[in-house]
Amino acid sequence: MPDVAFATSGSTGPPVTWLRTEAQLHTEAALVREAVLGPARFGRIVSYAPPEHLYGRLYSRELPRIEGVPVTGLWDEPLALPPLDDGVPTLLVCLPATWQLLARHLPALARHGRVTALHSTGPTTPAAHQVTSHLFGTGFRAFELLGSTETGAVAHRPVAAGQHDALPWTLLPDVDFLHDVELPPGAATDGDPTAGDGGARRLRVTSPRLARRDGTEAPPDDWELSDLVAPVGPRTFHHLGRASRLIKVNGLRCDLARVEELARARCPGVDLVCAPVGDPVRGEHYEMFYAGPRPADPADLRRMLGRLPSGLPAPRAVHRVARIPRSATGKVLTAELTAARPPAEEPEHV
Amino acid sequence: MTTTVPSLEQIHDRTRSVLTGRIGDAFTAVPSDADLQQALGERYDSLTAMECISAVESEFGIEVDFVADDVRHWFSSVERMVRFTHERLEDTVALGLRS
Repeated sequence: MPDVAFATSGSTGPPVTWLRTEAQLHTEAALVREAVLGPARFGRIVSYAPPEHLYGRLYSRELPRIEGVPVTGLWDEPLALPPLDDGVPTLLVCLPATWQLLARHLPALARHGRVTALHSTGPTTPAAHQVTSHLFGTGFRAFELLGSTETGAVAHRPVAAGQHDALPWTLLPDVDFLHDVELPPGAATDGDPTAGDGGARRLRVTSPRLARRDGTEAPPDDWELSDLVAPVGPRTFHHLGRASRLIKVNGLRCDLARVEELARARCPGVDLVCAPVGDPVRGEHYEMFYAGPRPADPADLRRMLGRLPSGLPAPRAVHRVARIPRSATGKVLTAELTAARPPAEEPEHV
Repeated sequence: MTTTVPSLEQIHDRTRSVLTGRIGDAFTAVPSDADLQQALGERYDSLTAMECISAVESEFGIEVDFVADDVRHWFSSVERMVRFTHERLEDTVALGLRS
């Protein structure tokens, strides 16, 4: 049986194809079913994750096959409600944006009482924690997966009720840490106060589910993710941020260095940078900052920027600033930059 | 106590203000009768529409029902949002007077 291909955006060039065997896909879905979701039976899976990406493929295709249950695919309908009226035990396969939708229907979720939510592809949003908090004690359960297209799921934890990132992650049973990777000096991620203090390190793992890069004979022995972690036990860690400039906008990878490279080519002479920002709907997003006399209007810069290549989202906002703040060594001071922008408005439904 | 519904003009101005806060620089030059998806392209996708619905709800103290209300229609342009909001506020006041 041929391997199944999943593409990731190359950090500076064309997309990269990663191949997984059918056996790897089956193993991962079954493993998460057993180690994370537990013994509860589902009568239906409702998925907001498109099956052309790994997360969607696993829980919109593989898991339903294993369970023998129907799938309601809502990946093209992010505002469509899951069916909740019939009381069928349901697994919701969520993206970051799904939680804003769930937050609008707390009474139906509470009445149902047998809904389990699985979250991945990006950080949980404030709405995820608020939903989980409001539904505490109703039978609603929510779990979060950490991983990548290259590694598959690496670790899991419950979605914390009413608080952010307080719970440590636990490695999946077939994943092992490789503890010998220290964070190189100067590699700390922008705005991460803990990176580089000796506690942070790149998450490097080995498992039988690592993908094979197209054109190679076999998967690598291990893989280093861009995630920065602080181990708290032999198989548990806190997630601190990322060492790269990769963000995930509602689950889709976006390399800010690549966006800047494109933008500088299209807007010659303009001093511009991209800064990651939290997004209450999409989990993460980015905003563009530029300095200089022209263009005077950020809308003009957006027009110069034009349409970005497929898979790269446009900036959430474009700001003109007096100058791009940089350190003595030329590093952009992102925290200072984002602090100067207008305060974001946070939608609240809960 | 009598509650009055803001005028269409007031709702229009407040709606543009909250959408500017949500969509930012890309929204500034978009006419109120323009189809937002056509005018803004991918910048007004389903998720941005959800953000705008939330912003309008917060601004005017109304609730939008994703099932009963045709959100794709009513939140496709500023003008339609204004009409939807005005009708919803009138309904709210009418119900309040009856109770």
